[in-house]
Amino acid sequence: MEENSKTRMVAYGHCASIYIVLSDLIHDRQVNKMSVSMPSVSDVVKKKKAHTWRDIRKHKTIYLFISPFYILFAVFGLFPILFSLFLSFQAWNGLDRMKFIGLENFALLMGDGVFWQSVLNTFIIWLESTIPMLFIALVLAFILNSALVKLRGFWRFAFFLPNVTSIVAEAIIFGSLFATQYGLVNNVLHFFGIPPIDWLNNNVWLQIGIAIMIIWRWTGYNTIIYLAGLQSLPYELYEAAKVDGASMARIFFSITLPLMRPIILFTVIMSTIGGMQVFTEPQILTGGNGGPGQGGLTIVLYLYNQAFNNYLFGYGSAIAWVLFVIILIFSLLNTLIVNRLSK
Amino acid sequence: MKKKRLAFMGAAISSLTLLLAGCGTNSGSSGKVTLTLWYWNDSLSDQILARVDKAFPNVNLVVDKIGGNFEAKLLSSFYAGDPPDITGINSAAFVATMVQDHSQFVNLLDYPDAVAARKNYLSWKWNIAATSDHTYQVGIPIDTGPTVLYYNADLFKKAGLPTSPAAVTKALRTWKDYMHAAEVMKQKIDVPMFDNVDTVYEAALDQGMQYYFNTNMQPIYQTNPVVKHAWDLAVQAHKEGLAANIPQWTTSWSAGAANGGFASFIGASWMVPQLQASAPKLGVWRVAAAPGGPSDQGGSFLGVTKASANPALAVKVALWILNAQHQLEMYPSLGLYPSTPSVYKSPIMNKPSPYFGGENINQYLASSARNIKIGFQSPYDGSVDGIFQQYLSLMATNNLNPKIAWKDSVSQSEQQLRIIIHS
Repeated sequence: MEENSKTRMVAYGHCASIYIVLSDLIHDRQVNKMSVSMPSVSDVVKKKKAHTWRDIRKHKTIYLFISPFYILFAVFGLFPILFSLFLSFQAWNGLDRMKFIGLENFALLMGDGVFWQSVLNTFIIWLESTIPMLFIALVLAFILNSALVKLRGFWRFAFFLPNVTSIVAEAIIFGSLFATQYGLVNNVLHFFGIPPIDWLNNNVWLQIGIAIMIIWRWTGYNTIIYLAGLQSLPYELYEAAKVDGASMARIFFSITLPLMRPIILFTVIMSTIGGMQVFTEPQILTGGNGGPGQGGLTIVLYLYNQAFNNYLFGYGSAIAWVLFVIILIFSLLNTLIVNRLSK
Repeated sequence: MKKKRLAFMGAAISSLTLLLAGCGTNSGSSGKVTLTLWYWNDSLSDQILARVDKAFPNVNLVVDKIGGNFEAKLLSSFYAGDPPDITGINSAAFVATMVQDHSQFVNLLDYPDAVAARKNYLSWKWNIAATSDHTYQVGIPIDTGPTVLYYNADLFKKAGLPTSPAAVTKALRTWKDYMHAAEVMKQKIDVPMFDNVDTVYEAALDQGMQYYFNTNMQPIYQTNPVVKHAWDLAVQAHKEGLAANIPQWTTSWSAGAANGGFASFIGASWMVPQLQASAPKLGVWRVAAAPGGPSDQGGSFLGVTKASANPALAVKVALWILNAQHQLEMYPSLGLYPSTPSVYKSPIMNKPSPYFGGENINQYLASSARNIKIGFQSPYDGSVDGIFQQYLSLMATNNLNPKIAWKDSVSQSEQQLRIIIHS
């Protein structure tokens, strides 16, 4: 089952490669564990190393071809990551000499109420966006996968389209739609006799507004992934279920959902990583400050404001690393929950 | 301080296109001195910059229009030890930071050309880019942001208030007059006088001579009467329902300006293009002197960095770019209000504006610019100001008790200062 789903994932493009890297990592870890228990560890490692270098030299043209990615990653990815870790232990405004202050940035962060509010905001927005988004995406994929739908290519294209638009443009347009006075949404509500909603100033509505933007943008993306998953499910199981007279709902919950588990897990983890880093939507929507009640102040927006508006680069880096730990813990929790739920 | 928002919008729009600014190349043609200059869109005239090579035959000026977060990129260039020879310096807080930490810029007072040119610029403007003891000058003024009262003459007429700029200037001399007119406006035609309470707060605050810190960098916002006065005006505007709660730089603001959603606001010279684009109808909006007195909102500088191999020449070029004639040239094309008062009388600046009902708005802008008095701006003003404004908005939109809003503004400012001091 596990093996099956793994090979199936290969077809899904870039998302699959991440999954495979992850599972390879787990595999490697197991191999390493085994090698630890063997007697001549260093010998094995040395041999392996020499072997690796010989291999690289032998295929140097190929390594040369793939090197641009690694060089660019080292310069624009790895170095900033390591440098931000270094910065998180410094006090630095970008101009003065850096001052090593140990864990003080982290200590300040733990007592910073605004930071904890930003963590709470981020989780609320994540919940309000991810749950409806994945649910709608799954239903849409299920519908698109049924034989009844015509023009399937068009629908797939249409649902995916929001994903390739500019987030800044999206946020500016949603900002106009959600405006309290003269906003289109409130005008429509007014037409139906519903009192206007203070979308951009009230914390609760601001968070819902941001969640709606995320849903609008990412539902199509998840639909495509689910659709690819659905299309690769073994047809025999469905046929057998139909012969046995199972209802659509029963088929969905007893066959589709369990078989889709690894794909759902993938989308949940991707939305967690994305959702914890929501930035552009609230930044544009609230003019950068997170709104009057700071309900739109997400962790990354707070990081940005401290680092690039207040020039507290050490503090900003500390926020980044706490965010990293939060995402790590949260992804692991998600894995556990999704696995438990669909077992 | 308003300029920060302007800069923010600029950053937002340029991140639309994700400008990847290249590094300046140093490949000057032989015998010529290569100077690099960093600026952002519409902060200097491209035509004038193109003429530098003609005015200085020995100079090869390489200009870089930097998009995105200009200040972060400038800081990176300092850190990398490769900043441009000449650079723009924008927001008030950043200017204050550069003045306090002037290690990156040459002292313009060391260059006779700059010392001689000093008298051409508004003295208060020149002094913003100087240390408080006036011994170290970091920048040469580009534009300034003198504030005036923009008002909707149609609504003023309907409310029975004076309508001509001269009469409005005379009738609305103080904040008390202005508040009273706002109450009349509310009673007679039920239109809010102000666009939002933050505008009221900023306008009143900027008219003062002391803001959030004293020159020893001690926080004074809790006791400073200027802050308290500005805060109380904002609270009054909220309590009496005199503000429309429409934030600036939004489509709602444009709609409000065009449809009589609010009757007036105090704004800088650079609000003219914004207003014109929002409410294109001619002769509705007019300009008068700002109640409460003149004040400055923003305006940037050019500085010469210490990394420059030819600082004397760079200072000469920067002064040439910003001479009075060029400042005059940049006003009609870019809306940059000159910091050189000698041109305020020029016919180009005093053309009657059909948009403002044939009024010569420059008489009010010029008199504002000439009479501005300014207090000490600290590098942290931007951070603290953001917190105070945010709590005022929260009061206005979520009905937060003003006393709690004040208490929370103070305590959050203290928390932020703790972080700033330690980190």
